Amino acid sequence: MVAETNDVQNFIAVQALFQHLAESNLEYLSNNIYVAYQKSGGELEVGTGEAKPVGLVMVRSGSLEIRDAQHNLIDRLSAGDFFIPRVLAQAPAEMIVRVLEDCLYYELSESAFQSIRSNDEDISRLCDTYARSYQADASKSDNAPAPAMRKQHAFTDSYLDQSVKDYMTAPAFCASPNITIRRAAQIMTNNKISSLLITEDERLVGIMTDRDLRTRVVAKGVADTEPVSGVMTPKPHCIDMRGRLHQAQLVMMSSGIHHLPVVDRDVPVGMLGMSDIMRANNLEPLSLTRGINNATTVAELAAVAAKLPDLVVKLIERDTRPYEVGEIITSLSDALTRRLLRLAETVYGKPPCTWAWLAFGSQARQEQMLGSDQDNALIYGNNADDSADAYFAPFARFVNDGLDACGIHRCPGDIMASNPKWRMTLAGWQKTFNYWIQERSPKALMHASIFFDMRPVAGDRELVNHLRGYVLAKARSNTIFLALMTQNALEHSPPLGFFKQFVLEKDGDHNHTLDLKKRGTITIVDIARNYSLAAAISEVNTISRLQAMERAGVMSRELVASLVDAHEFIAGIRLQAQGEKFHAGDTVDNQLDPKTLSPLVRHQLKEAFQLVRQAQAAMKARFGGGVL
Amino acid sequence: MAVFYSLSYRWQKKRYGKAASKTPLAGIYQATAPVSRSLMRENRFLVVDCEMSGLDANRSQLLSIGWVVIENARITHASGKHLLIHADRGAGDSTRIHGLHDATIAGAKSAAAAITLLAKQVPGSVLVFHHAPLDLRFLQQTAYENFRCPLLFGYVDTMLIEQRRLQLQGAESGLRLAQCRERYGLPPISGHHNAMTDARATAELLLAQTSYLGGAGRVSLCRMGIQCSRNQYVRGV
Repeated sequence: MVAETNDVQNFIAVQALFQHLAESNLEYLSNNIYVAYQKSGGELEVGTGEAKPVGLVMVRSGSLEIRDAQHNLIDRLSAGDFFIPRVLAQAPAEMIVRVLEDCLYYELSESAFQSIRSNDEDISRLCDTYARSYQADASKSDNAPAPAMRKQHAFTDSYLDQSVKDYMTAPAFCASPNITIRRAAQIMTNNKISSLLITEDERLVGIMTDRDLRTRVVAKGVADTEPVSGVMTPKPHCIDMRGRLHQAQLVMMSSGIHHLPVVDRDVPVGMLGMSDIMRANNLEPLSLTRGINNATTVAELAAVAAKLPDLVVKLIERDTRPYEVGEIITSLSDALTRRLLRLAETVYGKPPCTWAWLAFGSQARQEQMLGSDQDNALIYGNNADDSADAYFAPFARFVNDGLDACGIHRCPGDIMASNPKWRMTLAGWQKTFNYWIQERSPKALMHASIFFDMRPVAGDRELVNHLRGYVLAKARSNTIFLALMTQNALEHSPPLGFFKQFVLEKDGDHNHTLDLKKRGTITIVDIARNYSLAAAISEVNTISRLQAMERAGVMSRELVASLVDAHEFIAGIRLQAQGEKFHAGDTVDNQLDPKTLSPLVRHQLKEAFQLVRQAQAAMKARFGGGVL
Repeated sequence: MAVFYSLSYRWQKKRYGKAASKTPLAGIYQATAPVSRSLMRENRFLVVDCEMSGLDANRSQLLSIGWVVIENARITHASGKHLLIHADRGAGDSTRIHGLHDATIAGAKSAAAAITLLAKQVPGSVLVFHHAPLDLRFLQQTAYENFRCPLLFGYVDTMLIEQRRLQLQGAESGLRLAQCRERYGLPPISGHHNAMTDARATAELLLAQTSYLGGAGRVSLCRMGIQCSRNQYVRGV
């Protein structure tokens, strides 16, 4: 026999739980370890009824998730994480351990686990904390007037027990499988629906969604004259109209879909979307909007707005897509702003001229996340005189202070309507933009990148449309400006070093983390903005801009599809991390330690960053010529 | 396939049973054959990997044998064993590949002792190899040279399982151990590449493959393609 390099022992020796142990103890542990494997989708047994009781399970590769009987996510585990089956079996609610990615795991025998636990203070303390976290979690959900989903016995009278029939969108839009893809897209566009049912003899044979159009048609370059039957999802999941919402939600979550056809004995009668289920929930955005619209004081508004983070966490738990979360948060910010403007009018009386309240940055792009700052301004009609500004100064301060009280913090750069610099007539704004486009200073460019994303929130929309048309025409014709904007955008680059290694930020409090906003989503936002300035595309939302760029032929459909996916992926990880931070009571920011990601997700994130880098290179080649 | 396996097992037993009775291989000729209809979970598996001084069994020889046991669809980590074999012909050119130098090998077990130790593990087990023909050729050659009869056992080949799976999917892909493992999300083989780490790596691959075939409680030995070890590779038989 020879001294062996031993994979199991080498692995456990560097894990947080065991790294302090002496060599002899590590050897004892590894001699009591059994290696097992489960493919993705499978479940691990957490009971203790096995012939060989298991004390501890440690993930070697792949990932697992722990959910309670109501399918609430309790924990996600990846390489090096562990769980104690006995603790899960004794937890007040039944726990389900499901494999997310093919998982190789180590089982430590119960006897070895008990012996090391009674002999080692650190491990014993860690395991007690672990056990308590499950107990504490359960007691919290029992006492607190918690959201309905947490409570098992409240399930029967909760919102999810309502009938599918009451929440579906009816009638169902159906079409024959023989129609062309283009025709299907037209039907969807004309009826403003995001999914189309495909039927034969009235029976459901397939479904075609916006996502299918993107992934199976546009991304693959399939001609739109092909029949829809070739790209639809055949034999889709569906639910009977007499089913319950929780059944529908289960189907949607377990199969990762956002549209569920509703049938009455095989005949489609309607469609149920993820948003319909949310509508049924008492914390749904609509009820928050209602609360906002009924508020008569800033304090009441702030009380409603305080529920927003909870809503976001719920949306994340339900796997809502990031851009939908962004739209929901933005729509609530918009509603808050409008309500505050209305309240301001009751305080200060009727405005003396036509006006519009502008949102910039992420609010304009409908991409707000938790912890987004304010970016806003006022535009007056050209009929305004000096009295207008005297009226609007306290008016704007009222709104800005109100938003701050509602948790949408003041802009650190003071880009707010309360700042006299950002209250102007239409002519004044035109002059200002003209100056930014002509002037080649870094400050002008910074302003340009913030202000070019603009959207009216309230007031006279025509004023804003007018301004936007003017700006686009000016910017498009100025190649040097475009080149400078490109150069500016390239300063945010994906955090990849040589060999696709993550390059981590080391500044301030964020030791060794990625900034998923500055180095991730913003890079794509910048690319979309620059191209749309060059092509005079008036869309503001990043995804809409990218799609418009494809229609206008300024970017290939492959690149558009990839960028849309990359944006969704990076935004999704950022959102997930924010939700977890909020859960843990930490400050919500954009930082992430890549070590907390599973190897597969880490790999995908690198791929997404790599793609952004390629798109940046393409942008540089296209617009950079003037100065670079 | 299953019928052929059990026929050939019986035939081998009959042919060499008498000769084996006075050798250390007697135990494996007395044991009953693994039942091809039995399930993965019900069987004990002995996952084996060998290192040799070259690929030609006539001119090269066994340098080491590594194995690990799977019971109840779990690898018993402590069962891992690594035997080095004294090479009278020297480690030769292959030193570069497996890092076994003449100096390390000096003072190791004789080939006969290694086969004897392996034979003790065989009764009641199904053997597992990744690319069985090569390892079998060397094991049978060594057993025959020392005891005048071959080893007898049922075995499965993780490379064949993988090949069949890929054929069913209509995919063409690499069949090397590391490539197969990657498809199942298994971690890269760490540390030094030797008979025992490879046996462990193969064992993990088998767990992954059976998990994909339907799980240890549903996959039979027959489905895993069990075969009987024969003497076909042995020179002079």
